[in-house]
Amino acid sequence: MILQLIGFCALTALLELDTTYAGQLLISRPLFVGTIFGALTGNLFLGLQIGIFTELIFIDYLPIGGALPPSGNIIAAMAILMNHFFKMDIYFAFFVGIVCGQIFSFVEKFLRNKRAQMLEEIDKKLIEIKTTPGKIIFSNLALEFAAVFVFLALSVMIFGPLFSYLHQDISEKVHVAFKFAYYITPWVGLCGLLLSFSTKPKED
Amino acid sequence: MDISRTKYILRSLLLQGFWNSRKMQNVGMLFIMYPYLFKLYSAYPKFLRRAIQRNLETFNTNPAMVSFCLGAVMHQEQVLLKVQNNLDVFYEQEKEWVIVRSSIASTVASLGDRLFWSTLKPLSLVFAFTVLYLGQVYFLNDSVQVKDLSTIVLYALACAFLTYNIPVFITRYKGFTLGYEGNEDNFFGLTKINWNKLITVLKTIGQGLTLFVFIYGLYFYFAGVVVDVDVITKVILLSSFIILSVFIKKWNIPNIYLYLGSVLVFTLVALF
Repeated sequence: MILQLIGFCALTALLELDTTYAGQLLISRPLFVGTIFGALTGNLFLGLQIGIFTELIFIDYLPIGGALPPSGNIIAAMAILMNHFFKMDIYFAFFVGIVCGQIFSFVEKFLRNKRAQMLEEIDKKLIEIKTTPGKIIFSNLALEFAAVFVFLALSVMIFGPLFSYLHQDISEKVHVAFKFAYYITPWVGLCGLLLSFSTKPKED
Repeated sequence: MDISRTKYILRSLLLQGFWNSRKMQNVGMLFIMYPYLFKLYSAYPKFLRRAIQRNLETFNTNPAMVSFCLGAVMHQEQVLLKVQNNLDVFYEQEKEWVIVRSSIASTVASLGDRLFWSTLKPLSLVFAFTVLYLGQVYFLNDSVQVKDLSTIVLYALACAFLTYNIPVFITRYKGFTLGYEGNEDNFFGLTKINWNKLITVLKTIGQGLTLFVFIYGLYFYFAGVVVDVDVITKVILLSSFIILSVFIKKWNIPNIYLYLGSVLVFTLVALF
């Protein structure tokens, strides 16, 4: 189980690079991540559904300029890992995924600010041709991979056992509440999607 | 044009490789330009260092459309090389270089964000939904009864991937040439395409398909359900949240807050 978890965390960390740093081919979008993880954990439909629900709930978040939306990749991956390895009900797992995605956006903001602090020294080295931008970018990709991996591993180690501990005490009514909130998500998202397509540019 | 487009377009995939909150994509932009600058200024080390410094200035644009900026900036670098023996003209041209680079970057950023992030990305998702629904994979329901689920899902994923990435790569290639061969009159090739019309057409397609998925989804969500108090409550709550989502969209509140709010409200109602 631990080896599998390490593998999943590494795969998520690798895919996370696609969200901002390398490629942006959208292979890190929740639709793909959810489906891939669903297939790997033996529940393709659930993975697909988690991926779609995550896409829809964040349809109105755009990574424009310095905006930092919560990572859909981390949300979908965490939800499926929690469901598969800790038998967490999917509506709780989705919630935990969203919490982790939100926390990660603070981690990401911290990393971006750290890089900004290092920039003066890096600029100097680059101008004096003491290093190359390639070296800087690839070392940053490695660092980003490590940061996401550690974040995911810690999140799994905290939320998984915590849920196993609390599970017996969660009342049936709370289950119903989370379940209903989970099932209204795609409808709200579809509505948002419809409205986002309604905003059209004015013709020149 | 004697520049290998593929090489620079592949390098442009790492534009955001050192994204930072101060100068944003500056290191990434230098990474793309690096071989070009070395080729251009290999015999003039002083000018090379100055070119590196120049290219390290703040840069931020939409990654999918960066090739417009690349083409234009490469062209401007050639202009600078030609006037390097006359320093007064060189400094004048360098100022021009800064203006061209920043103005094209911000225009391209605005266009790219509207075309790729706000239109093509959600459109590719809706295409995938349509493929899933046509394959009878009703993902809004609790379970699915399809024999060959993996094939349909694979088609849907391929559809989403290609719908987004084919236009991205066409824009990357075409933008490079247009930017390089363009001039200030056609804003480095940008005015050769009617972007607003393109966005409007794509958004209209998206609107139609989303409406199809919404209505089709609702039909299959409630198909065969026996009407009782539970179902009526569900319908009323669902309708309320759909209406609420329209309002919160008008107030620019993200959907996620509606989800978190519903978790909180339902939990409180359930507990007390």
